[in-house]
Amino acid sequence: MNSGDREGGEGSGQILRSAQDDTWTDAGAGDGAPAPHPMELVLLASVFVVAACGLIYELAAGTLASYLLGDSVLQFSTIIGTYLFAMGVGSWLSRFLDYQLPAHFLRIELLVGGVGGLMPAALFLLSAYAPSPFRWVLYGMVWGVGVLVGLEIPLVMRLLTRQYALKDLVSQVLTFDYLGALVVAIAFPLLLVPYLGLIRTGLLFGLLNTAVAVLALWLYRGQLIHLRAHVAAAAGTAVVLLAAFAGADRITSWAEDRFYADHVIYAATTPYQRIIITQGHAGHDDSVRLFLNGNLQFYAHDEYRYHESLVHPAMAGFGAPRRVLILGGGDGMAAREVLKYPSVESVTEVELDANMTRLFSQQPLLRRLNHDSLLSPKLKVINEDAFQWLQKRLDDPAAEPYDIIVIDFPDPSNFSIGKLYTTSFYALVDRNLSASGYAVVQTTSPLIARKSYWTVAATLEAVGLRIAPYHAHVPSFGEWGFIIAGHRPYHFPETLPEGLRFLSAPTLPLLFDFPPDMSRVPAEPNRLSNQVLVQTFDAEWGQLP
Amino acid sequence: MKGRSRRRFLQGALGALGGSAAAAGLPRFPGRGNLQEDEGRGVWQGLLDRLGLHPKADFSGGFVGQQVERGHLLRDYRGAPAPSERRRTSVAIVGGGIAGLAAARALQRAGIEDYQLFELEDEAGGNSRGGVVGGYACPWGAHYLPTPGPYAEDVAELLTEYRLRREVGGKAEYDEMQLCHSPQERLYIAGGWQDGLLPVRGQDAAAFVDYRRFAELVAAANRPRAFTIPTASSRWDETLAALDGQSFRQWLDAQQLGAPALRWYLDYCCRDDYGAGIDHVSAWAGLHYFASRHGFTAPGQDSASSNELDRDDLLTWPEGNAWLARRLAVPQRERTQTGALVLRVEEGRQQVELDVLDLPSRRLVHWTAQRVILAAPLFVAARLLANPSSALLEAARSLPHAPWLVANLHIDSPLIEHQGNAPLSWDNVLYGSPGLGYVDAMHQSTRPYADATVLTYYTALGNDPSAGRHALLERPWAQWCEMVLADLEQAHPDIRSKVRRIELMRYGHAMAIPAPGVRGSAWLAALREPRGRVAHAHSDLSAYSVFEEAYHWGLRAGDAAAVALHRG
Repeated sequence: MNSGDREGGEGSGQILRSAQDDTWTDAGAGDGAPAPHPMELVLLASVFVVAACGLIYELAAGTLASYLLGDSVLQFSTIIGTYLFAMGVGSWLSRFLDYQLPAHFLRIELLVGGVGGLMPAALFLLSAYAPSPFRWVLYGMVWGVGVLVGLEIPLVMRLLTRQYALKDLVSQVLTFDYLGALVVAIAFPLLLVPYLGLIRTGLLFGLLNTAVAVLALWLYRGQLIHLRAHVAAAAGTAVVLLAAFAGADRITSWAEDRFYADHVIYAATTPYQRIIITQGHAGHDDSVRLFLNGNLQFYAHDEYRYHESLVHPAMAGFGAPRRVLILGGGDGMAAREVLKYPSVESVTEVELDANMTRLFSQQPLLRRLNHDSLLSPKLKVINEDAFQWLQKRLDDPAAEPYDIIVIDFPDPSNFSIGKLYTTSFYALVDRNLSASGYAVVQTTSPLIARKSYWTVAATLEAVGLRIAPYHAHVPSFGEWGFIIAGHRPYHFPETLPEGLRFLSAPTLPLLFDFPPDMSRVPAEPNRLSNQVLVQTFDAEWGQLP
Repeated sequence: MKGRSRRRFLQGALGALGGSAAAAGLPRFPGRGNLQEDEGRGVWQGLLDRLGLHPKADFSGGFVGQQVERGHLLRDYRGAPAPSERRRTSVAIVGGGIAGLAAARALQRAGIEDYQLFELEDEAGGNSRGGVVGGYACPWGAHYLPTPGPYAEDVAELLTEYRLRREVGGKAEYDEMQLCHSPQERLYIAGGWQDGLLPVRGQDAAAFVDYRRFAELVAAANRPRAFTIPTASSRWDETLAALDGQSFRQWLDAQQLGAPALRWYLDYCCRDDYGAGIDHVSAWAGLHYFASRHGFTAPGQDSASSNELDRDDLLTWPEGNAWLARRLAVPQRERTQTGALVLRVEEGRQQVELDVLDLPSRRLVHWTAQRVILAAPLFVAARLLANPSSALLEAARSLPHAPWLVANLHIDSPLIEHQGNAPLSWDNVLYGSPGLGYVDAMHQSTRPYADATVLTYYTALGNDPSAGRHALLERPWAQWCEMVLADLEQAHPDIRSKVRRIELMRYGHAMAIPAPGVRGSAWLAALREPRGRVAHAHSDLSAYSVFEEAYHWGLRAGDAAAVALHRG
């Protein structure tokens, strides 16, 4: 913005003269001097900022709408339409503002800064806390900000008419208006959103609007009637925006808390998944929940039912297992149950996501839940893909087979995870299992996903394993299924380890009884080349009301 | 995923949220909009993607392999310097593609120790070579092998030796890890991906009527020993000859099969297997594509037999058929000379003489051999042979070859996939595209998450071979990249922001086109018959290029040479 382009001439002289007439008292500037006056820069810079802020709010609203409501073409189109129309209304309304133009301008700047700047944060929170009126509030805010932004430019132009000829005025103002739009349109996707995020971007530009207001306050301090009130309003807006800026993380986590019902105490995105841990507001250990990609993995209150059922029927049925392999289950809960057997000499925990095992071996709260199982000297953590790790193991002549293999993977909801439920995978499991060993697989709900459950059973049988299917009730999951597989027929154990809260030796056989609504249905084995399980699973869970 | 019953509304909702906690905070509502599965990527990248704002990335790359100049040395050859060395061998094999490697395998199997294989490129394998781009193994040409049918006993035997196949109770079983994993194929049509390649999405009843009629016509044409692989097992008769005499389009016109979706699909299949579309291949070839393998099943058609018996199983590897070619090449390493340009083959009464230019040293070696197996395309054979037969000269004139471009694109993070669409598959084809779509080189990996990969994009330029060859020679790398990206961009608007490297392989003469009249021609029949000391062994003899045909002709020529040598 080099205003030295317009050297001399009528316009320049006029600016200096009228500036002196109004508020500017710089005596150093003489008539006809070609040097640009700082005043000019300041006012045009504010046009630039005003235009930039106006576009930012529009982009932010469009982004939020398309992200939260979907259908980006529709959302962007309607948001831009609403916004532009509201700007037109604002421009029209500007005719009714007659006296005290600097004061009007100042107030509008503060309003735009406050409302526009807080809009992304407010919409975020709204989407989490009150999703139903979201659409109406969104368009209401877009309308409001649009009207205010529409008022800005006419007012700026009228403020500047005192200093500019119309020709120069229109040219300069519109140039900086469009220039501001260009800079922002480029910076928004490339710099602002990636580095600041949407909430902070909104707040930053709210602060810029406020800065323009402060500038106007200073420039027109001689003309303003309620100077103190204006100063207080500007300071208040700035403080609110700054506070929100500092608390942007908190705003984000409020929104997430709301989504998860409880307080989010840990959230991380790893290369493989989104890990969220929540805790009830009272802070009890047994109110902890783990979510992976939004799906509940355990609820501390009843996870003992799941993990006792997963581990003990196979372990106790084996007798005195020495070598145990756990695939998945990076939370260490299965390992906790496994370590209840004094016969166990080594536990190998294969978990793809190192963040999971690190988290559950370091956080005191989580270590209390898994009884420090991941820190046991008997346990070795391997952060690798289970499929590839088992395959590699076949080439190792020193690799010993396992007595027990606990398979605790996420449900087969997509083709990538579905590979871990195929004949190829179970054949690998079989080759790593000792002759008298048992593998146990968590196998989704035989009640809700009945055919999926029996597909896993058929898949295990297809590689020549004998199966012993069973199920247990886990309140936070519902009726849940497991399958023990091995070459030795399964026999119920005489005893179970001390201190179990759910399983007991006399009641264990009941779990192996399937009522008619979960009893076996014919199913095709799941192979890498057909992945029938993923389709069945998707259909069955998709039928839920 | 446990506990989905309780928290199903969260499924996929917060799951795909990425980015740091500070940047996150975009809750997602299930069932609204098409949310991407962008696990492992920042939410803001996802957001930019969502907005269609994909900052263009810089990518590197260049042309690879297939050194155009080498082949053209032969074309421009006008006599060589005096040979610096003279050497002898019992059998010289010219060409180290699948046919040449099969010929060497047959000789070795027959106990012949004294043979020599000459390969022009730096690595044997021909169209079945592979490479590594961005750290990922990927194919440079052929990339799969259908499980062999009843006539392809030789291939079945090879696969058994490589432990890919075994017979259990008289039934063939294949190594499931090497069979193409599910999901296998998808088609981008009408703004989304559908499962399978036959257009279904947005098609009207007329298309389905034509699908059913075509399925019936294929079934009717499929008599025993009519369409076989290898084609040498087929009993050629009047009916097949009549089909061979017309273009596939003429035949479709005569059958009044005009549904645009069916026409597109058949044209795609022909371009994919034969390098040229339905205007340029014979009706025999068009029907052979289906009748020789899995038939044609119209959607919704109840075909218990097709599901039970003919499930279209195929074997594939990250590096494509290079997996097979490299295994075939290993036992031949001692007797393979790469970078060897055979300049002249002259058949005498007692022996055959060859001039072989060793390209690295630029030394000319004069070889004498008892027998020569020309495992090279017929138009190349016509240039090599001092006295080509009239049939060979006719073949050089009348057997067209399709140029191909194969692009390997290294993608540094998974492309956005939209929910409700068919997921990333092994073979991904774009309806109406000039290309043939792409294959995911990491498809056979068992990693349980989406990640960086290499996409192998194919395009056949056989509809106008000479223009295609000209374009391959003249167009710079960047221009080809732009064409490939512009094509893929329709289905993957984010591809430009994720591509890091593009390597291009150009084949001027990738494969024979089974043009009308070629397969049934007298000249091709004559070239298939062994005579004298020089035998041809190449998929050109079948008028189309697949592993099974090349392997068949190679084995046969190798066996014949071994028998002749044993006889003395």
